[in-house]
Amino acid sequence: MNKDQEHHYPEVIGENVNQLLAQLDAYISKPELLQDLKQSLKQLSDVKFALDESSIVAVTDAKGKIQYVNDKFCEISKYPRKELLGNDHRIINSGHHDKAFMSGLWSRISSGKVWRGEIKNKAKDGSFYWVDTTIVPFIDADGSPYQYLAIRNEVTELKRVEEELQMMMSQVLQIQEEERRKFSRELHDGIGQSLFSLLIQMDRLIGEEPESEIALLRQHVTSIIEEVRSLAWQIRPSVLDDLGVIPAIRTYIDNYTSHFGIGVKLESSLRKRLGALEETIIYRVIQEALTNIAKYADVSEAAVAVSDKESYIEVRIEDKGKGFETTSRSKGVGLFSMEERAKSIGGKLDISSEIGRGTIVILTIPSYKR
Amino acid sequence: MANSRMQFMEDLEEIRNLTSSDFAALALCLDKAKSYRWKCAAGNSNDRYQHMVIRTGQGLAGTALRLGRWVKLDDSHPQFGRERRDCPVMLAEQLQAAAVFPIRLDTGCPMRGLLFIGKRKGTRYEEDEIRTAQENLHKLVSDMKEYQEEMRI
Repeated sequence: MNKDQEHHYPEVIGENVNQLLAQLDAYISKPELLQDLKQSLKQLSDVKFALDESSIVAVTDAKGKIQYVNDKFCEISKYPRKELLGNDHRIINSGHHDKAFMSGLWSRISSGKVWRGEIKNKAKDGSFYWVDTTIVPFIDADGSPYQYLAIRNEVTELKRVEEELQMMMSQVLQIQEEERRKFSRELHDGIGQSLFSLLIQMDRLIGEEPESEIALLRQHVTSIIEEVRSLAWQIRPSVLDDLGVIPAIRTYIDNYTSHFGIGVKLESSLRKRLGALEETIIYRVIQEALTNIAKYADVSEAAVAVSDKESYIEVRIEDKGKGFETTSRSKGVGLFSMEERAKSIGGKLDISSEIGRGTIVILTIPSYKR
Repeated sequence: MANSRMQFMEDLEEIRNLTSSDFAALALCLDKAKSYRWKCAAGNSNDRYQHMVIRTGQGLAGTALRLGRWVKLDDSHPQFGRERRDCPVMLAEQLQAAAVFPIRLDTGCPMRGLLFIGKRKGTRYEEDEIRTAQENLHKLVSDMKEYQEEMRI
Protein backbone atom coordinates (compact mmCIF):
# COMPACT_ATOMS: atom_id res chain seq x y z
CA MET A 1 0.00 0.00 0.00
CA ASN A 2 2.97 2.24 0.29
CA LYS A 3 3.45 1.76 -3.44
CA ASP A 4 7.02 1.83 -4.63
CA GLN A 5 8.31 2.72 -1.19
CA GLU A 6 6.95 -0.48 0.27
CA HIS A 7 10.28 -2.21 0.54
CA HIS A 8 11.88 0.76 2.28
CA TYR A 9 9.36 1.24 4.99
CA PRO A 10 7.79 -1.48 7.12
CA GLU A 11 4.00 -1.77 7.09
CA VAL A 12 3.88 -2.25 10.88
CA ILE A 13 0.21 -3.26 10.84
CA GLY A 14 -0.15 -6.80 9.51
CA GLU A 15 3.47 -6.61 8.51
CA ASN A 16 4.13 -10.11 7.14
CA VAL A 17 0.71 -11.03 5.86
CA ASN A 18 1.59 -11.42 2.19
CA GLN A 19 4.72 -13.38 2.96
CA LEU A 20 2.82 -15.67 5.30
CA LEU A 21 0.08 -16.24 2.77
CA ALA A 22 2.65 -17.34 0.21
CA GLN A 23 4.30 -19.80 2.60
CA LEU A 24 1.23 -21.35 4.20
CA ASP A 25 0.77 -24.12 1.60
CA ALA A 26 4.25 -25.44 2.19
CA TYR A 27 3.94 -25.70 5.97
CA ILE A 28 0.37 -26.57 6.82
CA SER A 29 -1.10 -29.84 5.78
CA LYS A 30 -4.48 -29.73 7.53
CA PRO A 31 -6.85 -28.43 4.86
CA GLU A 32 -9.40 -26.81 7.26
CA LEU A 33 -6.72 -24.99 9.24
CA LEU A 34 -5.05 -23.89 6.05
CA GLN A 35 -8.33 -22.58 4.71
CA ASP A 36 -9.16 -20.71 7.95
CA LEU A 37 -5.72 -19.21 8.24
CA LYS A 38 -5.72 -18.05 4.65
CA GLN A 39 -9.13 -16.51 5.08
CA SER A 40 -8.18 -14.70 8.31
CA LEU A 41 -4.98 -13.34 6.86
CA LYS A 42 -6.79 -12.22 3.74
CA GLN A 43 -9.38 -10.47 5.87
CA LEU A 44 -6.68 -8.71 7.88
CA SER A 45 -5.05 -7.52 4.71
CA ASP A 46 -8.41 -6.34 3.33
CA VAL A 47 -9.24 -4.43 6.50
CA LYS A 48 -5.90 -2.67 6.45
CA PHE A 49 -6.43 -1.80 2.80
CA ALA A 50 -9.86 -0.34 3.56
CA LEU A 51 -8.52 1.60 6.55
CA ASP A 52 -5.71 3.10 4.52
CA GLU A 53 -8.13 4.05 1.77
CA SER A 54 -10.54 5.78 4.12
CA SER A 55 -8.46 7.37 6.84
CA ILE A 56 -5.24 9.03 7.85
CA VAL A 57 -3.39 6.35 9.77
CA ALA A 58 -0.32 6.49 11.98
CA VAL A 59 1.30 4.06 14.39
CA THR A 60 3.68 5.15 17.13
CA ASP A 61 5.66 3.24 19.72
CA ALA A 62 5.10 3.60 23.47
CA LYS A 63 7.17 6.82 23.55
CA GLY A 64 5.21 8.40 20.72
CA LYS A 65 7.84 7.89 18.04
CA ILE A 66 6.19 7.49 14.64
CA GLN A 67 6.70 3.98 13.25
CA TYR A 68 4.24 4.08 10.41
CA VAL A 69 2.22 6.58 8.44
CA ASN A 70 0.06 5.85 5.42
CA ASP A 71 -0.05 7.80 2.16
CA LYS A 72 -2.96 9.93 3.33
CA PHE A 73 -0.95 11.07 6.31
CA CYS A 74 1.90 12.18 4.05
CA GLU A 75 -0.52 13.81 1.65
CA ILE A 76 -2.29 15.95 4.26
CA SER A 77 0.80 16.80 6.35
CA LYS A 78 2.81 17.47 3.19
CA TYR A 79 5.81 15.77 4.81
CA PRO A 80 7.68 13.02 2.98
CA ARG A 81 7.52 9.73 4.82
CA LYS A 82 11.18 9.74 5.74
CA GLU A 83 10.83 13.00 7.66
CA LEU A 84 7.97 11.64 9.72
CA LEU A 85 9.26 8.20 10.66
CA GLY A 86 11.27 8.23 13.85
CA ASN A 87 9.93 11.67 14.77
CA ASP A 88 7.07 12.27 17.17
CA HIS A 89 3.82 14.15 16.52
CA ARG A 90 5.29 17.43 17.67
CA ILE A 91 6.46 17.84 14.08
CA ILE A 92 2.86 18.64 13.08
CA ASN A 93 1.93 20.49 16.28
CA SER A 94 0.02 23.67 15.46
CA GLY A 95 0.36 25.23 18.90
CA HIS A 96 -3.42 25.68 18.95
CA HIS A 97 -4.06 23.35 21.87
CA ASP A 98 -2.84 24.17 25.35
CA LYS A 99 -0.69 22.00 27.60
CA ALA A 100 -3.67 20.74 29.57
CA PHE A 101 -5.27 19.42 26.38
CA MET A 102 -2.14 17.52 25.37
CA SER A 103 -1.38 16.14 28.82
CA GLY A 104 -5.03 15.07 29.10
CA LEU A 105 -4.68 13.18 25.85
CA TRP A 106 -1.45 11.49 26.93
CA SER A 107 -2.60 10.53 30.39
CA ARG A 108 -5.67 8.92 28.85
CA ILE A 109 -3.95 6.84 26.20
CA SER A 110 -0.98 5.89 28.38
CA SER A 111 -3.46 4.46 30.88
CA GLY A 112 -4.75 2.23 28.09
CA LYS A 113 -7.95 4.11 27.23
CA VAL A 114 -9.09 5.19 23.79
CA TRP A 115 -8.97 8.96 23.16
CA ARG A 116 -11.29 10.77 20.77
CA GLY A 117 -11.29 14.40 19.78
CA GLU A 118 -10.53 17.07 17.24
CA ILE A 119 -6.96 18.24 16.75
CA LYS A 120 -5.59 21.16 14.79
CA ASN A 121 -2.30 20.30 13.04
CA LYS A 122 0.23 22.19 10.99
CA ALA A 123 1.44 20.89 7.63
CA LYS A 124 5.00 21.28 6.38
CA ASP A 125 4.08 24.31 4.27
CA GLY A 126 2.70 26.08 7.35
CA SER A 127 -0.99 25.57 6.52
CA PHE A 128 -3.33 24.24 9.19
CA TYR A 129 -5.73 21.33 9.06
CA TRP A 130 -8.20 19.83 11.53
CA VAL A 131 -8.51 16.11 12.09
CA ASP A 132 -11.13 14.17 13.95
CA THR A 133 -8.91 11.71 15.78
CA THR A 134 -9.21 8.35 17.50
CA ILE A 135 -6.11 7.02 19.24
CA VAL A 136 -6.21 3.35 20.25
CA PRO A 137 -3.51 2.05 22.62
CA PHE A 138 -2.43 -1.57 22.16
CA ILE A 139 -1.67 -3.20 25.49
CA ASP A 140 1.01 -5.76 26.24
CA ALA A 141 0.79 -8.61 28.73
CA ASP A 142 1.63 -6.27 31.66
CA GLY A 143 -1.25 -4.02 30.74
CA SER A 144 0.90 -1.15 29.54
CA PRO A 145 0.66 0.21 25.99
CA TYR A 146 3.41 -0.78 23.61
CA GLN A 147 1.95 0.88 20.54
CA TYR A 148 -0.60 3.51 19.60
CA LEU A 149 -2.74 3.44 16.50
CA ALA A 150 -4.11 6.83 15.47
CA ILE A 151 -6.93 7.01 12.95
CA ARG A 152 -7.81 10.46 11.70
CA ASN A 153 -10.25 12.05 9.31
CA GLU A 154 -9.94 15.54 8.00
CA VAL A 155 -12.60 18.00 9.24
CA THR A 156 -10.94 21.29 8.25
CA GLU A 157 -13.90 22.38 6.14
CA LEU A 158 -16.33 21.51 8.91
CA LYS A 159 -14.29 23.53 11.39
CA ARG A 160 -14.10 26.45 9.00
CA VAL A 161 -17.86 26.48 8.55
CA GLU A 162 -18.31 26.17 12.30
CA GLU A 163 -16.07 29.19 12.90
CA GLU A 164 -17.82 31.11 10.16
CA LEU A 165 -21.20 30.34 11.69
CA GLN A 166 -19.95 31.51 15.05
CA MET A 167 -18.70 34.74 13.53
CA MET A 168 -21.96 35.25 11.66
CA MET A 169 -23.93 34.74 14.85
CA SER A 170 -21.93 37.30 16.74
CA GLN A 171 -22.25 39.72 13.82
CA VAL A 172 -26.01 39.21 13.66
CA LEU A 173 -26.25 39.95 17.38
CA GLN A 174 -24.14 43.09 16.96
CA ILE A 175 -26.18 44.31 14.03
CA GLN A 176 -29.37 43.72 16.01
CA GLU A 177 -27.94 45.75 18.88
CA GLU A 178 -26.88 48.56 16.54
CA GLU A 179 -30.35 48.69 14.96
CA ARG A 180 -31.92 48.80 18.39
CA ARG A 181 -29.65 51.66 19.36
CA LYS A 182 -30.72 53.60 16.26
CA PHE A 183 -34.43 52.94 16.74
CA SER A 184 -34.29 53.79 20.40
CA ARG A 185 -32.49 57.06 19.77
CA GLU A 186 -34.81 57.95 16.90
CA LEU A 187 -37.87 57.34 19.09
CA HIS A 188 -36.47 59.26 22.02
CA ASP A 189 -34.82 62.18 20.27
CA GLY A 190 -37.05 62.34 17.19
CA ILE A 191 -40.68 61.53 17.86
CA GLY A 192 -40.25 62.08 21.60
CA GLN A 193 -38.88 65.59 21.11
CA SER A 194 -41.52 66.51 18.52
CA LEU A 195 -44.25 65.47 20.93
CA PHE A 196 -42.61 67.44 23.68
CA SER A 197 -42.55 70.62 21.62
CA LEU A 198 -46.21 69.98 20.81
CA LEU A 199 -46.82 69.88 24.54
CA ILE A 200 -45.13 73.23 25.05
CA GLN A 201 -47.26 74.81 22.33
CA MET A 202 -50.36 73.39 23.99
CA ASP A 203 -49.28 74.83 27.32
CA ARG A 204 -49.05 78.24 25.71
CA LEU A 205 -52.60 77.90 24.34
CA ILE A 206 -53.87 76.66 27.69
CA GLY A 207 -52.22 79.65 29.35
CA GLU A 208 -54.18 81.97 27.07
CA GLU A 209 -57.44 80.12 27.51
CA PRO A 210 -57.42 77.92 30.65
CA GLU A 211 -60.86 76.36 30.09
CA SER A 212 -60.19 75.09 26.57
CA GLU A 213 -60.48 71.45 25.58
CA ILE A 214 -56.79 71.48 24.83
CA ALA A 215 -56.15 70.54 28.46
CA LEU A 216 -57.71 67.14 27.76
CA LEU A 217 -55.63 66.74 24.62
CA ARG A 218 -52.56 67.66 26.61
CA GLN A 219 -53.20 64.68 28.88
CA HIS A 220 -53.35 62.38 25.87
CA VAL A 221 -50.11 63.75 24.48
CA THR A 222 -48.46 63.30 27.86
CA SER A 223 -49.39 59.64 27.96
CA ILE A 224 -48.19 59.15 24.36
CA ILE A 225 -44.84 60.68 25.34
CA GLU A 226 -44.71 58.30 28.25
CA GLU A 227 -45.37 55.36 25.95
CA VAL A 228 -42.77 56.46 23.41
CA ARG A 229 -40.19 56.88 26.16
CA SER A 230 -40.88 53.51 27.67
CA LEU A 231 -40.74 51.90 24.23
CA ALA A 232 -37.37 53.54 23.52
CA TRP A 233 -36.20 52.32 26.91
CA GLN A 234 -37.34 48.78 26.25
CA ILE A 235 -35.65 48.62 22.86
CA ARG A 236 -32.33 49.81 24.28
CA PRO A 237 -31.81 51.99 27.33
CA SER A 238 -29.54 54.95 26.60
CA VAL A 239 -28.41 54.70 30.24
CA LEU A 240 -26.38 51.68 29.15
CA ASP A 241 -24.13 53.91 27.05
CA ASP A 242 -24.25 56.96 29.31
CA LEU A 243 -23.89 55.53 32.81
CA GLY A 244 -23.00 51.88 32.35
CA VAL A 245 -24.44 48.47 32.88
CA ILE A 246 -25.21 48.60 36.62
CA PRO A 247 -27.44 51.71 36.52
CA ALA A 248 -29.13 50.25 33.43
CA ILE A 249 -29.75 46.94 35.19
CA ARG A 250 -31.04 48.72 38.29
CA THR A 251 -33.68 50.52 36.22
CA TYR A 252 -34.42 47.36 34.26
CA ILE A 253 -35.08 45.53 37.52
CA ASP A 254 -37.41 48.30 38.76
CA ASN A 255 -39.46 47.99 35.59
CA TYR A 256 -39.27 44.21 35.72
CA THR A 257 -40.64 44.14 39.27
CA SER A 258 -43.52 46.46 38.45
CA HIS A 259 -44.32 44.43 35.34
CA PHE A 260 -44.05 40.85 36.55
CA GLY A 261 -44.40 41.44 40.29
CA ILE A 262 -41.15 39.55 40.93
CA GLY A 263 -38.73 41.10 43.41
CA VAL A 264 -35.07 40.99 42.38
CA LYS A 265 -32.12 41.37 44.74
CA LEU A 266 -29.22 43.06 42.97
CA GLU A 267 -25.66 42.88 44.28
CA SER A 268 -22.72 44.36 42.50
CA SER A 269 -19.03 44.83 43.18
CA LEU A 270 -18.41 46.29 39.75
CA ARG A 271 -17.12 49.83 40.24
CA LYS A 272 -15.69 50.54 36.81
CA ARG A 273 -16.93 50.91 33.27
CA LEU A 274 -16.34 48.04 30.87
CA GLY A 275 -16.18 48.05 27.09
CA ALA A 276 -19.44 48.86 25.28
CA LEU A 277 -19.66 45.30 23.97
CA GLU A 278 -19.09 43.71 27.38
CA GLU A 279 -21.67 45.97 29.03
CA THR A 280 -24.25 45.23 26.35
CA ILE A 281 -23.68 41.50 26.69
CA ILE A 282 -24.01 41.59 30.47
CA TYR A 283 -27.19 43.63 30.16
CA ARG A 284 -28.75 41.35 27.55
CA VAL A 285 -27.84 38.15 29.38
CA ILE A 286 -29.36 39.41 32.65
CA GLN A 287 -32.44 40.59 30.75
CA GLU A 288 -32.84 37.24 28.99
CA ALA A 289 -32.30 35.22 32.17
CA LEU A 290 -34.79 37.32 34.15
CA THR A 291 -37.36 37.08 31.36
CA ASN A 292 -36.97 33.30 31.43
CA ILE A 293 -37.53 33.36 35.20
CA ALA A 294 -40.73 35.38 34.76
CA LYS A 295 -42.00 33.04 32.06
CA TYR A 296 -41.07 29.65 33.41
CA ALA A 297 -39.80 29.61 37.00
CA ASP A 298 -43.02 30.52 38.85
CA VAL A 299 -41.31 32.41 41.69
CA SER A 300 -41.80 35.73 43.51
CA GLU A 301 -38.11 36.41 43.97
CA ALA A 302 -34.86 36.20 42.06
CA ALA A 303 -31.28 37.36 42.59
CA VAL A 304 -28.69 38.96 40.35
CA ALA A 305 -25.03 39.37 41.33
CA VAL A 306 -22.33 41.05 39.29
CA SER A 307 -18.85 40.45 40.71
CA ASP A 308 -15.62 42.03 39.60
CA LYS A 309 -12.98 39.32 40.07
CA GLU A 310 -10.09 41.39 38.66
CA SER A 311 -9.23 39.20 35.69
CA TYR A 312 -12.82 38.39 34.87
CA ILE A 313 -16.39 39.48 35.55
CA GLU A 314 -18.88 36.99 36.90
CA VAL A 315 -22.61 37.53 36.49
CA ARG A 316 -24.94 35.23 38.36
CA ILE A 317 -28.70 35.07 37.92
CA GLU A 318 -30.45 32.75 40.30
CA ASP A 319 -33.95 31.60 41.17
CA LYS A 320 -35.39 28.91 43.39
CA GLY A 321 -38.25 28.03 41.08
CA LYS A 322 -39.40 25.13 38.94
CA GLY A 323 -36.12 24.41 37.18
CA PHE A 324 -35.81 22.37 34.01
CA GLU A 325 -34.00 19.42 32.49
CA THR A 326 -30.67 20.84 31.26
CA THR A 327 -30.00 17.75 29.19
CA SER A 328 -33.09 18.16 27.05
CA ARG A 329 -32.00 19.12 23.56
CA SER A 330 -34.75 21.59 22.86
CA LYS A 331 -33.01 24.83 23.68
CA GLY A 332 -35.02 27.99 23.29
CA VAL A 333 -33.76 30.91 21.25
CA GLY A 334 -33.09 32.70 24.52
CA LEU A 335 -30.55 30.24 25.89
CA PHE A 336 -28.93 29.96 22.50
CA SER A 337 -28.48 33.71 22.11
CA MET A 338 -27.11 34.03 25.66
CA GLU A 339 -24.48 31.40 24.87
CA GLU A 340 -23.61 32.98 21.54
CA ARG A 341 -23.27 36.40 23.13
CA ALA A 342 -20.94 35.03 25.79
CA LYS A 343 -18.82 33.16 23.25
CA SER A 344 -18.53 36.17 20.97
CA ILE A 345 -16.33 37.96 23.51
CA GLY A 346 -14.40 34.94 24.71
CA GLY A 347 -16.63 34.36 27.71
CA LYS A 348 -18.78 31.43 28.68
CA LEU A 349 -22.22 30.69 29.98
CA ASP A 350 -23.00 27.94 32.47
CA ILE A 351 -26.54 26.93 33.21
CA SER A 352 -27.32 24.56 36.03
CA SER A 353 -30.87 23.67 36.84
CA GLU A 354 -32.67 21.05 38.83
CA ILE A 355 -36.36 20.32 38.67
CA GLY A 356 -38.05 21.75 41.75
CA ARG A 357 -34.84 23.42 42.97
CA GLY A 358 -34.33 26.31 40.60
CA THR A 359 -31.88 27.56 38.05
CA ILE A 360 -28.51 29.30 38.16
CA VAL A 361 -27.12 31.06 35.11
CA ILE A 362 -23.48 32.12 35.35
CA LEU A 363 -21.86 34.34 32.76
CA THR A 364 -18.09 34.72 32.92
CA ILE A 365 -16.33 37.19 30.70
CA PRO A 366 -12.70 38.25 30.63
CA SER A 367 -12.17 41.74 31.99
CA TYR A 368 -9.91 44.10 30.08
CA LYS A 369 -8.37 47.19 31.56
CA ARG A 370 -9.68 50.27 29.82
CA MET B 1 -61.93 51.98 53.71
CA ALA B 2 -61.97 48.56 55.27
CA ASN B 3 -65.66 48.31 54.48
CA SER B 4 -65.34 48.91 50.79
CA ARG B 5 -62.37 46.55 50.61
CA MET B 6 -64.46 43.79 52.12
CA GLN B 7 -67.23 44.65 49.70
CA PHE B 8 -64.81 44.41 46.77
CA MET B 9 -63.65 41.02 47.98
CA GLU B 10 -67.17 39.73 48.41
CA ASP B 11 -68.13 40.79 44.90
CA LEU B 12 -64.93 39.41 43.40
CA GLU B 13 -65.59 36.05 45.09
CA GLU B 14 -69.11 36.03 43.70
CA ILE B 15 -68.02 36.86 40.15
CA ARG B 16 -65.31 34.22 40.46
CA ASN B 17 -67.88 31.58 41.34
CA LEU B 18 -70.46 32.64 38.79
CA THR B 19 -67.96 32.54 35.92
CA SER B 20 -66.31 29.24 37.06
CA SER B 21 -63.04 31.09 37.45
CA ASP B 22 -60.14 30.30 39.79
CA PHE B 23 -58.87 33.84 40.01
CA ALA B 24 -60.43 37.29 40.02
CA ALA B 25 -58.82 40.67 40.55
CA LEU B 26 -59.75 44.31 40.46
CA ALA B 27 -57.48 47.09 39.26
CA LEU B 28 -58.15 50.75 39.99
CA CYS B 29 -56.80 53.87 38.45
CA LEU B 30 -55.42 55.47 41.54
CA ASP B 31 -53.89 58.73 40.44
CA LYS B 32 -53.92 61.35 37.76
CA ALA B 33 -50.88 59.77 36.11
CA LYS B 34 -53.39 57.12 34.99
CA SER B 35 -51.44 54.27 36.46
CA TYR B 36 -53.45 51.19 37.18
CA ARG B 37 -52.61 48.76 39.97
CA TRP B 38 -54.35 45.67 41.30
CA LYS B 39 -56.33 46.70 44.34
CA CYS B 40 -57.43 43.25 45.49
CA ALA B 41 -57.67 39.68 44.29
CA ALA B 42 -59.59 36.51 45.08
CA GLY B 43 -58.17 33.03 44.56
CA ASN B 44 -54.63 34.34 44.13
CA SER B 45 -51.77 31.88 44.71
CA ASN B 46 -49.17 34.52 45.61
CA ASP B 47 -48.78 38.28 46.13
CA ARG B 48 -47.05 39.13 42.90
CA TYR B 49 -50.11 41.00 41.61
CA GLN B 50 -49.61 43.60 44.35
CA HIS B 51 -46.31 44.73 42.85
CA MET B 52 -47.57 45.04 39.32
CA VAL B 53 -48.24 48.29 37.51
CA ILE B 54 -50.42 47.80 34.45
CA ARG B 55 -49.01 49.50 31.40
CA THR B 56 -50.97 50.30 28.28
CA GLY B 57 -50.54 47.58 25.72
CA GLN B 58 -48.66 45.16 27.96
CA GLY B 59 -50.35 41.89 28.78
CA LEU B 60 -54.06 41.19 28.62
CA ALA B 61 -54.98 43.97 31.08
CA GLY B 62 -52.81 46.43 29.14
CA THR B 63 -54.60 45.42 25.95
CA ALA B 64 -58.01 46.10 27.51
CA LEU B 65 -56.66 49.44 28.68
CA ARG B 66 -55.50 50.35 25.19
CA LEU B 67 -58.59 49.13 23.36
CA GLY B 68 -61.09 50.34 25.93
CA ARG B 69 -63.17 47.18 25.58
CA TRP B 70 -63.25 43.69 27.05
CA VAL B 71 -60.73 41.10 25.84
CA LYS B 72 -60.10 37.43 26.48
CA LEU B 73 -57.27 35.00 25.90
CA ASP B 74 -57.75 31.23 25.85
CA ASP B 75 -56.65 28.27 23.76
CA SER B 76 -58.93 29.34 20.93
CA HIS B 77 -56.36 32.02 20.12
CA PRO B 78 -53.94 30.89 17.37
CA GLN B 79 -50.91 32.29 19.21
CA PHE B 80 -52.16 31.41 22.66
CA GLY B 81 -48.79 30.23 24.08
CA ARG B 82 -46.90 33.33 23.08
CA GLU B 83 -49.63 35.75 24.13
CA ARG B 84 -49.93 33.99 27.46
CA ARG B 85 -46.21 34.36 28.15
CA ASP B 86 -46.61 38.10 27.55
CA CYS B 87 -49.26 38.44 30.22
CA PRO B 88 -47.74 38.95 33.68
CA VAL B 89 -50.92 38.04 35.59
CA MET B 90 -51.40 34.77 33.70
CA LEU B 91 -47.76 33.88 34.39
CA ALA B 92 -47.89 34.82 38.05
CA GLU B 93 -51.12 32.94 38.70
CA GLN B 94 -50.46 30.07 36.24
CA LEU B 95 -53.67 30.76 34.35
CA GLN B 96 -54.70 28.92 31.19
CA ALA B 97 -57.56 31.23 30.22
CA ALA B 98 -58.30 34.83 31.14
CA ALA B 99 -60.62 37.73 30.39
CA VAL B 100 -60.43 41.43 31.28
CA PHE B 101 -63.31 43.92 31.44
CA PRO B 102 -63.06 47.71 31.66
CA ILE B 103 -65.11 49.32 34.42
CA ARG B 104 -66.74 52.70 33.88
CA LEU B 105 -68.73 54.49 36.54
CA ASP B 106 -71.32 55.41 33.91
CA THR B 107 -71.66 54.59 30.24
CA GLY B 108 -69.60 56.98 28.17
CA CYS B 109 -67.37 57.91 31.11
CA PRO B 110 -63.64 57.30 31.05
CA MET B 111 -62.42 53.93 32.33
CA ARG B 112 -61.73 53.79 36.06
CA GLY B 113 -60.95 50.17 36.71
CA LEU B 114 -60.42 46.67 35.31
CA LEU B 115 -61.84 43.30 36.25
CA PHE B 116 -59.57 40.35 35.57
CA ILE B 117 -60.86 36.77 35.71
CA GLY B 118 -58.84 33.63 34.99
CA LYS B 119 -58.92 29.83 35.02
CA ARG B 120 -56.11 27.51 36.03
CA LYS B 121 -57.51 24.20 34.84
CA GLY B 122 -60.13 25.29 32.33
CA THR B 123 -58.74 26.35 28.99
CA ARG B 124 -61.59 28.42 27.62
CA TYR B 125 -64.13 31.13 28.47
CA GLU B 126 -67.59 30.41 27.06
CA GLU B 127 -69.96 33.12 25.90
CA ASP B 128 -72.32 32.74 28.84
CA GLU B 129 -69.46 33.10 31.32
CA ILE B 130 -68.37 36.31 29.63
CA ARG B 131 -71.96 37.57 29.71
CA THR B 132 -72.27 36.70 33.40
CA ALA B 133 -69.12 38.68 34.16
CA GLN B 134 -70.41 41.68 32.25
CA GLU B 135 -73.79 41.49 33.98
CA ASN B 136 -72.11 41.58 37.37
CA LEU B 137 -69.78 44.48 36.69
CA HIS B 138 -72.38 46.89 38.11
CA LYS B 139 -71.70 45.48 41.59
CA LEU B 140 -68.09 46.55 41.36
CA VAL B 141 -69.20 49.91 40.00
CA SER B 142 -71.29 50.63 43.08
CA ASP B 143 -68.43 49.44 45.32
CA MET B 144 -66.14 51.85 43.53
CA LYS B 145 -68.53 54.75 43.99
CA GLU B 146 -68.67 53.98 47.69
CA TYR B 147 -64.91 53.66 47.82
CA GLN B 148 -64.49 57.06 46.20
CA GLU B 149 -66.75 58.65 48.75
CA GLU B 150 -64.85 57.01 51.58
CA MET B 151 -61.59 58.27 50.13
CA ARG B 152 -62.94 61.79 50.04
CA ILE B 153 -63.83 61.79 53.71
